[in-house]
Amino acid sequence: MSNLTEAIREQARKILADKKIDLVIGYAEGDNPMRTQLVFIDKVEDIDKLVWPSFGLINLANYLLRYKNTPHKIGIVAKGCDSRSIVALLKENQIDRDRLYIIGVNCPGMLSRQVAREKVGEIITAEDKGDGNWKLTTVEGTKEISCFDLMPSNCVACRHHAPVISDVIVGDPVTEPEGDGYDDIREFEQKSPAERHECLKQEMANCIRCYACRQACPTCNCDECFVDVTQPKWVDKGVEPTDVAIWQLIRTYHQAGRCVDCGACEEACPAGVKLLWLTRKMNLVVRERFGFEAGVDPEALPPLATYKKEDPQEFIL
Amino acid sequence: MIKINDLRTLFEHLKRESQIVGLKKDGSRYFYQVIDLYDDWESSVLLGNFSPKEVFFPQDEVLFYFKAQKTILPKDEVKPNVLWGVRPCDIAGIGELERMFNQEGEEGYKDPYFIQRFDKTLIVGLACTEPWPSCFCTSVEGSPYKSEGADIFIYPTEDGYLIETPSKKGEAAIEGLDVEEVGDVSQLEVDRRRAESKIKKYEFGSVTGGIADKLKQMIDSSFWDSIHSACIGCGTCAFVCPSCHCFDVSDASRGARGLRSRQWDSCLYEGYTLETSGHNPRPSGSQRWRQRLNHKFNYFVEVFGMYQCLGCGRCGRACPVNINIAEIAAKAISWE
Ligand code: SF4
Ligand code: SF4
Ligand code: SF4
Ligand code: SF4
Ligand code: SF4
Repeated sequence: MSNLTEAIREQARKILADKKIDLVIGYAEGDNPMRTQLVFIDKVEDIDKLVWPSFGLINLANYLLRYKNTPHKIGIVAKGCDSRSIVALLKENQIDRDRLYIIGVNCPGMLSRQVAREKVGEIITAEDKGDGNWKLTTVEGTKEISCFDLMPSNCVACRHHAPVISDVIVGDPVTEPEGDGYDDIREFEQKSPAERHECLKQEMANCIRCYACRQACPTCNCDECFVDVTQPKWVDKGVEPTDVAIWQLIRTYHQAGRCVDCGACEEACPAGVKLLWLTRKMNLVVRERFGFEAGVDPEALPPLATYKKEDPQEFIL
Repeated sequence: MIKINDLRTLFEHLKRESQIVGLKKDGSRYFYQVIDLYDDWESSVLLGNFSPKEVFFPQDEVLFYFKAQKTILPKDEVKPNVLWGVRPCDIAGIGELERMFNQEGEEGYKDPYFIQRFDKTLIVGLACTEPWPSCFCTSVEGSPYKSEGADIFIYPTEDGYLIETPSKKGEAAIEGLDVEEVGDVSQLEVDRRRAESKIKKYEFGSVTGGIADKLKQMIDSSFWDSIHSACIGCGTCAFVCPSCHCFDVSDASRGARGLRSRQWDSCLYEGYTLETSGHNPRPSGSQRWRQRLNHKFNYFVEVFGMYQCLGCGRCGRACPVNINIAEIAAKAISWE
């Protein structure tokens, strides 16, 4: 059992036993290779179901929205990015801070089954060798791969491993890497418009419009999503390339100043669409133009909620 | 039964008359797609990331176009298909679609879009010698060696392939193929047991007397509040499922024409039961999960006498939060 698992259980046990909260939302072992389940624990006896997972690219802040109009006091395990989503939700008055107990985790980074699938093929079994390597059985044979090669792009780019808001923090602090983490996006920007267009077109061609990406995202939380509105209808159903593009672009824009680059959307996508290209490009724009990073400063006003005369607007259509 | 040494000969033989649709790699995933060359077929992949249902029931399908008073049917000619290398659970899934979309009797619903494709498809099944840890077909009346529903069924053996033709269509299709008749096929039984022993078994009781009965008594149970919590209602489970067949219908305009089309839908979507008035008879996640489990293990059993889940395990593999329907069904069975 990892130290983090132990530390999380200890904190969860304490707050549940002291009746500080009604339930704890956290991760549990999955039953398929590289998978993680979730638990909602309201009894001290069940605490040992909690784990710190290797493949935990689910953003738990998403679940807080369920308790928006209930009286529950909630304990929640929060990675760096989850904590940023909590901040983003607090700013949008989606949750009450005083009904939350945040068990923040200094997150060493997660691994991704999508990345694993891309690198080695469809995975049948996975075994943690305990030395930083994973033994994966795939349809193409058995391979050993380092956990560093299984990191998703958002964890590689992450500069906020430490929770930005919490009631208690577990785990050793992580040294933040150099740079701002956007080198891959800047590299992408260097490509010609035709190349960029082709690249995005190919990604969009895989989208089946199931909206798993939306459902996995804490800040994709409109009461009625524009794609579901039928009167008036903003965009046709189905997988016509223009409709898919409209869906993806608007989803991305609606995340401006709200997306924390947790990678939950991309990890959830059954079609393997690389969504973080879009959201991270937009995050970079928001950062460069408006000097804002989602969920980092609890006091800062989000760009979509403010207007300043000197806001850059040359790119508005 | 007959024997061939190399599947390539069968592939080439069938390809003379039809296009072949089988598992092909696309990016890092495997889909049922037209395969021109035998070598493009991913023979070692057990299941595609999506099921073969889209061959008969595409995710997004035009039903008709309209212009002023005129209705125009889509013109795409459906080509004859060979659905190549499908596993028994997926074959059973196709069988369920057939039960839904091509119902018996005068009154029965007949879906022309499904039927035109189904009638032109020859199903070539393939036994599973190496099931995956997520498979549970043996708990839902299936088996990795079940040939029922296929036109041609392939059993890989140590030194070649045994071929069974469960249907007249299949028999006709292999005519002219250079084959060797085999009398003793007792080894197959050994192979079947070996493959089955690798599959995780859940106890659901008999089809009509087990879980279906239990679920009938559980409509108001608190059970439903305990299982759905992690579900984000993303519908992935329905999209990858070989037997989920719900669809939504919508209209759109294309220039001067209008078109009506249908798209896959899922009972786990909040909008699935939303009525025009704004009323939603299934407003909560727990009610929606109750529907899913009941449809798979109770309602379908009541109407058609069979489970609507074939145990392919795709949903649990693809679900972002790893919800395993078999485990939920097993929990329901033992719920006090
Ligand atoms: S999850 Fe993937 S396939 Fe589904 S709508 Fe989002 S991008 Fe498209
Ligand atoms: S858009 Fe994706 S990466 Fe951004 S917050 Fe939502 S789930 Fe996370
Ligand atoms: S419900 Fe899940 S396991 Fe059952 S047939 Fe559908 S995808 Fe396969
Ligand atoms: S569930 Fe059974 S039939 Fe389906 S792939 Fe697995 S072993 Fe084969
Ligand atoms: S795939 Fe999982 S999370 Fe998505 S709707 Fe199905 S059970 Fe719920």
